[in-house]
Amino acid sequence: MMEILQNLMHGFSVAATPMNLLWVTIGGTLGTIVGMLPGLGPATGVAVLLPLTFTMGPTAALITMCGIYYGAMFGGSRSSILINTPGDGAALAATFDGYPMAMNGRAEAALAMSAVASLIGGIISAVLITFVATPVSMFALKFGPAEYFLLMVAALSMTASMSKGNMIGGFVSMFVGLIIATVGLDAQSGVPRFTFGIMELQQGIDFLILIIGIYALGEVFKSFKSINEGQKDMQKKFGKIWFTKEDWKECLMPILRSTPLGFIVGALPGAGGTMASLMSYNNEKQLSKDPDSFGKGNIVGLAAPEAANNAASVGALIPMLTLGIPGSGTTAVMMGALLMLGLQPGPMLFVQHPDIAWGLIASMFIGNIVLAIVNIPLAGLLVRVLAIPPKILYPIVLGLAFIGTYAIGNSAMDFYLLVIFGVMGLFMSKAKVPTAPMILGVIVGGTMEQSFRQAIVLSDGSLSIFTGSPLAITLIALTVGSVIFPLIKEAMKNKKLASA
Amino acid sequence: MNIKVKTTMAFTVFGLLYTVVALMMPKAAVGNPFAPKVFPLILGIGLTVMGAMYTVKEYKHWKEEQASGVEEEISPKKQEIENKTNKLITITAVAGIVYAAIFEHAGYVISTSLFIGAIMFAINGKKKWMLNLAVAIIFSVAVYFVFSTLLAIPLPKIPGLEI
Repeated sequence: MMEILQNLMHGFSVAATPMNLLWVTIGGTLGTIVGMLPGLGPATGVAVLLPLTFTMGPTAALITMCGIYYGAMFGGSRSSILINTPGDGAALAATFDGYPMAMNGRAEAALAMSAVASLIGGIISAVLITFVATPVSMFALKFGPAEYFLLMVAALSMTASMSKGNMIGGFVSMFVGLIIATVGLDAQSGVPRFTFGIMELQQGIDFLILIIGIYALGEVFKSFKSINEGQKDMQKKFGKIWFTKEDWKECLMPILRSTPLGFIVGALPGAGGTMASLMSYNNEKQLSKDPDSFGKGNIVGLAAPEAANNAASVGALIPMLTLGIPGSGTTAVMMGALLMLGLQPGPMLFVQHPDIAWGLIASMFIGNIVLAIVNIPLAGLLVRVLAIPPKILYPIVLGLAFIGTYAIGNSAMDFYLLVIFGVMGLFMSKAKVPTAPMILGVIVGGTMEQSFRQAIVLSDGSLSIFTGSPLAITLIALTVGSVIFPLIKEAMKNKKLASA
Repeated sequence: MNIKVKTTMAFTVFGLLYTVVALMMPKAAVGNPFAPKVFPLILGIGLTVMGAMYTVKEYKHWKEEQASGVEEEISPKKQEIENKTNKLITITAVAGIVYAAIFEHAGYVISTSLFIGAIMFAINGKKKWMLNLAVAIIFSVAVYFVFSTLLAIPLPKIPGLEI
């Protein structure tokens, strides 16, 4: 307990230097702007703004990245409220009551409440992660290669099976991701795999290129449609951005209830902010005395999912930081950023680089506060970005996606991959194949194969090592459960439908 | 066939091809000669099987839809937007490939101006040529400046010029 507080204090001393505060503010503001743009969520925001951090030291880079991440989370709901277009899936729930509020002339209260709810959700979750991170990473240190392999299998299968009603699509997507990860020189034997004699492919395919391809290019491709459909009007003049005392009284409990829910859901692989915010919205609707007012501009319907969403974004950092397994697209980009800085996320991060791990946790507190400060008084100013016509915006986003890709590997060869992944992302979304399992697959694929092979070598070629410990068996049970549970649920639903 | 069936079929074929390439891969000179192959083979077979199941599912679904006639009629207006969107996507993808090919030869500013310019013209038409050119050139020069000066990430220069 004392040790944790000491570590956190140390983290604050690392994160709260004037320079780092400046970076977190700049990152947060830029992140808010990018997150606000329709179709561009936190994952795209971090991916596109990543090159900004390349010349910084690891701590400053990470803190800036966190600023961008939270900024994009805060920003995502701005466009939900004002133009009924969520910046990303997690901001979807904010359209349900946020947009009707703006229509009823309460845009100011909606903008302020969404920022305050996000702030509270973020801060409470930062406290939670402070106490959870060390025990989880200590536990993870006990994992051998076999357990580590099974952990990744479990994470992947949970992500795949959570793809709503399309489990098989989730698994197809997962396999494609793992396959992309096998391209390049084999780490153990040096055998070139699937490189087809192309030099550039020997180092493998950087998953950041896949992420930029799927999120930036793919999203812009999808958004081209809205260019031809015409632009939506939005409110440009605002009064004082704040809410009433009654609003506050009404929302406090829902915010406090939604935060732990969001945090836990966010920490599960594959679930993330979208599910957290939708769950908390439905929860509050059921608990409400006046459920009919939901969807018509009830402020609780905005505050609860916003708190849950931000809590989930902090929770999602737990598996990434402590296990090296990102649970969402955005944390995957963050992990890519860590890897670029030469830091391997996972249990050893807390042992080898405590200043970075704790600096990051401290910056969650700082980042959330800075963002609330930036977002409430400046909301009226920042949302003007939404007035930029998409006809100019999308070409610029494309330009940023390409330069971001170039900055990763200093090679224009990667542009070909970027275009291929962008088109692939478009087709996957048209065919309703989920992309998250693929991205997770690309990220963990390499480590997963290495752990698998190490485990086999350890056991002299026998597969029994994968059932050799209680932990391994628990992980197998989790994997099997994650596949069977949705199947049973669906069968029960069908039965109900048939009998009704 | 609709796009879902086609996409799922494409994944299945990809899985099959991948499996074949994995089988043909050279053996490792050190350690177990088959070690680099095992994992890719599992993945290839996994994707082929899952992809085939997925294709069957989507195919059945499509047949059912056809039989019950729920396939929605596409209005001419919607079709027009769809065609425009597809054209724009194609132009962007082709522009991206050309961009990749000329990037290191023509330098960042020229290749990027051409790339952004091409997309701007495709979106906004010829009438707004001033705006199109302005966005393309200002973006390219601004990004070049930010990257090469502020971020110290060198970008390809125009041959013979210092930018």
